[in-house]
Amino acid sequence: MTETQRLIMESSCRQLLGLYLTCVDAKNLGAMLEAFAPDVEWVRPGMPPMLGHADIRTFFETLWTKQSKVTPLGDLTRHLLTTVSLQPRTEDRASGISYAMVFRARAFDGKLPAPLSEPELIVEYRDEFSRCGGDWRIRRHEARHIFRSALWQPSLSEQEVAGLNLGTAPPA
Amino acid sequence: MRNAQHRVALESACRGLLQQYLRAIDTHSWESLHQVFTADAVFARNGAAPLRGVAEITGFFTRLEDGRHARGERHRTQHHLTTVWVNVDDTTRIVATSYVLVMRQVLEEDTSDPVFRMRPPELLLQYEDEVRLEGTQWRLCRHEARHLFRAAGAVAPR
Repeated sequence: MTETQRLIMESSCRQLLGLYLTCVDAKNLGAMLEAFAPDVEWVRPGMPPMLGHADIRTFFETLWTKQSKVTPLGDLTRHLLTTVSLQPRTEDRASGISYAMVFRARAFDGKLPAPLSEPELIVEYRDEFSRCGGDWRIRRHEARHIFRSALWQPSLSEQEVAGLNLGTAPPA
Repeated sequence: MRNAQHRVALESACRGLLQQYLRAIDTHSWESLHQVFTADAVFARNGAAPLRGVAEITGFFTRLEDGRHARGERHRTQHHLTTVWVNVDDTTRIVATSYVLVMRQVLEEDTSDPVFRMRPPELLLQYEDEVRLEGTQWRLCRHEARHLFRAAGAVAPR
């Protein structure tokens, strides 16, 4: 990989993380999925892996619908991406480890600013990136909880996760 | 669609401008804001009329600091730039969304201690910025800070 290619890779992968996190906070699922390869594997604590865009869509639509039954806007979240370490593997593959702090206001009533307390989570993301057709995408995404506040609650119950039927949707 | 190298340059320029802006705020280097903002930049503010032009922006921060000095306050801040996403694919406008965590210490006595007393963050901000070429340099032509989260007891700048 030349130096120019490495700079392009680093910038592209940082941008993918930025796109993913700003879109998940804006609950913009369509734009968020553009950061991920169609055959992405997404690993989250406490549930089976999500495979492909259909599983991701099912998970987030279920989650946001559940939150919106408490208040129309659901939870207010901001995922603060801090340390990012990216490594090229080949000309078309790279891997990354990054840290994020997650702040959440549950049952957000729309009034800003929301109360700021400690982060709910400090997470570590482990990503595999691949380039296809000139564009970099996240091909595998794993979120690990490193620090967890007493404020944290699971997004979905075990029963709700089982009801997602992940891995059964036809490929896109 | 811009080519890959142009997109890298734009992302780097936006990130650099944000970092430069935050360093100017934290070091009270108001004159350096002329290297951050276009001459006709619009600085939108929470609950107040926008500032128009870099002269008005530097004037606002200068008056803010003068007011604090007059009250015997010395504010130390550290603005942590975290998530940044630059929309490099829009060929009409270049806009960036970013999140900033603000640490603040208000010193009421004169001290030369360089170490901040640890306390929780005061604010979590979302910036929406637009950049434009002014001559050969990228500059912020529009800046908006939204206060998304605020700690109990924190007050808006005065």
